[in-house]
Amino acid sequence: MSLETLHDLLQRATDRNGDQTAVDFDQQLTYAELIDASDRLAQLLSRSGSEPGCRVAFCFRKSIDAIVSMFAIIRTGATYVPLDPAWPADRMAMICDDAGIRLWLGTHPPPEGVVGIDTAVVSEPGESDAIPLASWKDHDGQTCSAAAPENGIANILYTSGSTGRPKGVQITTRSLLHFSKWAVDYFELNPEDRLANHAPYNFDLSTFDIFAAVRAGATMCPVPERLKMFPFQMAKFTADRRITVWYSVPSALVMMQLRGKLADHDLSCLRHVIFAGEVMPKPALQALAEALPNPTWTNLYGPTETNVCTYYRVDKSELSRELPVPIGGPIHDTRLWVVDEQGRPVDEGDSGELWVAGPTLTNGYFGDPELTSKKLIGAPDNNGDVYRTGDRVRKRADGALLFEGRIDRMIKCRGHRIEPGEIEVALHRHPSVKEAAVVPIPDPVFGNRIKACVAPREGQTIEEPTLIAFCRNCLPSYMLPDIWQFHDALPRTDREKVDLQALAKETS
Amino acid sequence: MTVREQLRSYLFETLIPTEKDSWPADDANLFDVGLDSLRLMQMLVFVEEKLNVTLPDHEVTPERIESVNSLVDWIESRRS
Repeated sequence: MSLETLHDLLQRATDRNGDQTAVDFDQQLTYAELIDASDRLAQLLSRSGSEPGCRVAFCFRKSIDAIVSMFAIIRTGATYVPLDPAWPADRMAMICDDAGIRLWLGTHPPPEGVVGIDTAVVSEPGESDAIPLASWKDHDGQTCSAAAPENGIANILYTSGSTGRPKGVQITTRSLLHFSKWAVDYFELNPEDRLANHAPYNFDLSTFDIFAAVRAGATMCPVPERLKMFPFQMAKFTADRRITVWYSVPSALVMMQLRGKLADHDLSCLRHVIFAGEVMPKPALQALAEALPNPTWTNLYGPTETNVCTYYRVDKSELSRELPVPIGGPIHDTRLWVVDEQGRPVDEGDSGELWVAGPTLTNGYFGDPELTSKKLIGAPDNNGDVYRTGDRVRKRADGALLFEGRIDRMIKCRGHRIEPGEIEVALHRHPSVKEAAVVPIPDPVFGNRIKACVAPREGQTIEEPTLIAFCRNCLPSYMLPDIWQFHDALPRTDREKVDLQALAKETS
Repeated sequence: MTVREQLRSYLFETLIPTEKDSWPADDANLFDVGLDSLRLMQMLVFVEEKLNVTLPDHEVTPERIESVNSLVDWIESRRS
């Protein structure tokens, strides 16, 4: 049996109907055009060293070029490493260094400070010596190397790391093939569907928007970046583009419910609304379901390391309950355990840490076997590895799992995973900071806001603007604290640890 | 204080605290200096509650929010 690849999904969609629209953005691209462009770009990339085992920086905002480039990298068998163009250069440099990146694909050339890049292929080269992306037109697509086998790494997603350095989660091709298959089957996706692509490419949510769409031969409709802050414009986009499947973090939906004037738009094409990344506030979901009675509402759950591993379809009786939406039960072929601190299954209905095993699991953190062996351990049923999620869950009487919080300090904010430790490390680098602690403050729309509590060194004063400017150089904007509080010394518990609970309660 | 002054001090003292000598110019792109979805929502509430100007949701567009200049123009037009 030959192994399936992600490129096969594109090939099959094209074989079925090459004239079908694959991408609808500022222009339209058919499946035949997408495969032609990505195969030729793959040829160009192969000549620049892109091959299985090689990692390629992928630094794009939503665009047709981005989708062509992603499939081109996949075609060469290499691994794409998504970088958000808005990240500070320091962070990009750290990641490119960590992933050993020599080949760069993006809208713009790598920013100053990113070293080790041999070749850059970009859509807007400007004055630089980068190869124009459009020069794929000079290549043919006949002699490419094989696409990644099923056991290859499709992409590496960098997430916040508690030690101050982001960590690279390896997403296997097998994981994306399995998840996209489940998604197409469960949501009955078909070529008539039009999927809004809302999540940035460095979010695991984007793999649904792309690989499930292509597996179904459906149309991808990237949401222009500049609309994302504008709920009314996003609702209008959803209506104008006749979106049938919407998938995003809850906060984007909550914003549309609050300020999108949903009743003013014709959203009758919408079949499925799917959300993931953090807890959906029930009152907002109730209001959304009332404004939009037709689509189904589904909560997907899964840390980056497991991809989506559970789902819950919200029905009428669930809507009328006041409690948070459950994360539900396992997707196809996934096994779950709820365990205590010793790794023993808890009694039915008790709360414990969620462990996940199955084909969507990561095979580890890039270049970090130590962390990998801490997070991935032998599964209790001796069938491969299990990922310890760090999420505390409890099984409801009907079998649905409820998310209850973290067993560690990780914060979820607008779907982003934030390790307070990473922000604290950044703050401690400032010469006037003596102590720093970061705590979450719950927010009804955005999940959490980030509060930084800082004590300056003796005789020194620091101000908010100085620290913000300082942090901006190394942290992405979603990790910048929203609330600042200054102390002479941080409060301590009777065990002499910083009293995080007291800091979280104290209002500034 | 004029609308412009009130807006500037709210933006750069409260919403996106910035050192006084490096406050962005009135035509600087606010998204580039750190305005994000959370802060945008807070700013709309500030304008509606503190400046007493109603801002219809359908008028909230990237062009109107882009800079202090475009924001002031929009707020003034809603006032008259």
